[in-house]
Amino acid sequence: MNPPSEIPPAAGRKSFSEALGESFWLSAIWLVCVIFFAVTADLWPLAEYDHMNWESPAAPPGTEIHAEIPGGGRPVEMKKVSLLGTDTMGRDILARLIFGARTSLAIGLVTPCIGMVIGGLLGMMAGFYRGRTEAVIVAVMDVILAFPGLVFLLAITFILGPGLDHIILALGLLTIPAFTRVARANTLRCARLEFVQSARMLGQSDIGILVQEILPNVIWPMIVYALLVVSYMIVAEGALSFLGLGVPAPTPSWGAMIAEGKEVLDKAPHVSLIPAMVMFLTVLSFNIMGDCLRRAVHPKEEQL
Amino acid sequence: MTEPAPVLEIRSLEVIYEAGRRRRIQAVSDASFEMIQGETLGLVGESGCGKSSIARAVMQLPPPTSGRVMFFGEDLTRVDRLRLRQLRPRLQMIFQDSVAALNPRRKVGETIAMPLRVAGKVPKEKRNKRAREMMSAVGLDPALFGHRPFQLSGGQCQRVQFARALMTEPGLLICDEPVSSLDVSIQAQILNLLERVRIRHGLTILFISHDMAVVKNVCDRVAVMYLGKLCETAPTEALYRQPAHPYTAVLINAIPMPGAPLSRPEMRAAAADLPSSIDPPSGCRFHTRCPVARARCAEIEPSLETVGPCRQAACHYPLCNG
Repeated sequence: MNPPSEIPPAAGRKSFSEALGESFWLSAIWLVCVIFFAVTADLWPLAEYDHMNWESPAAPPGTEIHAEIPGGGRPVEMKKVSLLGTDTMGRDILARLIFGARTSLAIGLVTPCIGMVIGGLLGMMAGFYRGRTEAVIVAVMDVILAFPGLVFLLAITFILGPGLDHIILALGLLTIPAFTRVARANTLRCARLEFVQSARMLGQSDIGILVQEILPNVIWPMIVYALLVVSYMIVAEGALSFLGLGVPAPTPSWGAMIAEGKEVLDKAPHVSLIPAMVMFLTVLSFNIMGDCLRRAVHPKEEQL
Repeated sequence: MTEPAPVLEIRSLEVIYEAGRRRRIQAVSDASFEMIQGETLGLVGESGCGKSSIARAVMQLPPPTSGRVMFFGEDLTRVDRLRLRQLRPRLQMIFQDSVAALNPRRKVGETIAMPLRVAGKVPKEKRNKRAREMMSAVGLDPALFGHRPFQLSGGQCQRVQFARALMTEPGLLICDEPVSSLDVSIQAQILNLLERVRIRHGLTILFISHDMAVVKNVCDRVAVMYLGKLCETAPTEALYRQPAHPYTAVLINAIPMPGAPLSRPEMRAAAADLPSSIDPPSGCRFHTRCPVARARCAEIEPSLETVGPCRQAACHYPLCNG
């Protein structure tokens, strides 16, 4: 494994951004756009996402439709081109997509954070202290894993009532066991290595070792895994909407939009397909970013 | 005038590992020795004889099952946790696997500066300056400051370990097989480095190795271990000239020497496997492989007896006496 002599290694190493590759940046651009529009949704001259127009339901993209622009107390009637068409209730799809991005991204981004913080903490404690701590944590996680997730979601909706925050909470709790496993496995892997012992020899405390030695080695695998969970959660929200467990109407979400369009799939496929396409691209982007990151941050340590 | 307290004094050290149900491995039993200021003691023996267990017991990682570890007169097995954390920087260890001994996520310069950071109160610029000075002192190009361990060779990683250990100005440096995973040419460089820092810092070193030839060149005194027990301690020169314990003789006989006659056939260990330390042999633990064993060896366990100036051996029939 050792080179024959102690020559300093070649300086010309690929920079981090080069190592990530083009597909990473393409994905990043798409996601930045989605997030940008989601954040600034109120500033755009969009139709109201919950304004129903029964004159033109399921209009294809580019249709000219009547719209009521509220202003000065008296609604003004005018013609307006609906860029992406309308859904089964005549609501503007573009507006619903952009406001729906808020819901889907909130679920996709906040949920893994809950899992990452709680699961990461528990997993690192289990892997570092071993013994009884580990046994208890692993047992609790096994129970959560064995409990049917859908039943848990139903129970949460039943007890706390429907709502975006409750869905995020419930989905977040369900991701904890997986994050615990990732954190524990990586902690176990590096806690037995000598650099942890040498930190102890320098008089470092347990918390110091966990934060300064182990966390930097555990955080990247966790982030890579979190990016996969983001896409999984966006899809999960869609699935929940199909079951009627999603975000309550009229708040738009991509999953709910796809679900709505299923009845007119033969006559007006765009009602389902446009949000499906956006969700697909977003999920794909998160997955590609996760993959590229994994390749870029695990360069040679894997050979150890 | 009383003699100054030894740097390290180990008394009746015992290390027992629990290996599943009711199976206990006695890695070290009843080991006692002491080290004085500036001395290099070599600890030799086959793999699995308990050398590293002694090292870890001294470091309290984990603490020994029983026995005492006196470091400058303080018993490390008795002091409270806070005091142990204060004392630990003065005990440093160089690990065999130099790559695993460095945090892969940290720049090597930061690794070397870490002792100062843990100790606190040293501003960052000063820490980094000291780290660069130490890098030059151990023969590392300070330009490697920002590199990560996996970009370095094994020899360079070993130098980083030395630099980190020396930053604390340790009272005792334990080297656990520091060169066994390196190429022979790099081994020589690292051993020269060890000699240099030993003289410059007046280090007391516990040098663990299974390589008798390396130990001969590095150490002032040698302790030989077999199956968790000390068989012989002696000054290096006397030990290599005339070993007292048959096991030492077997080890020395196994060093390949260019030009020397073939090893004396009467001083080879029986080809039997190393007995298990879960169930060690009765009497003298070496009797199953000893070339000169007699009936008494299987019954009565010999204790360490003085067999010459500054030397002790645990054998009923030592090969040299007085």
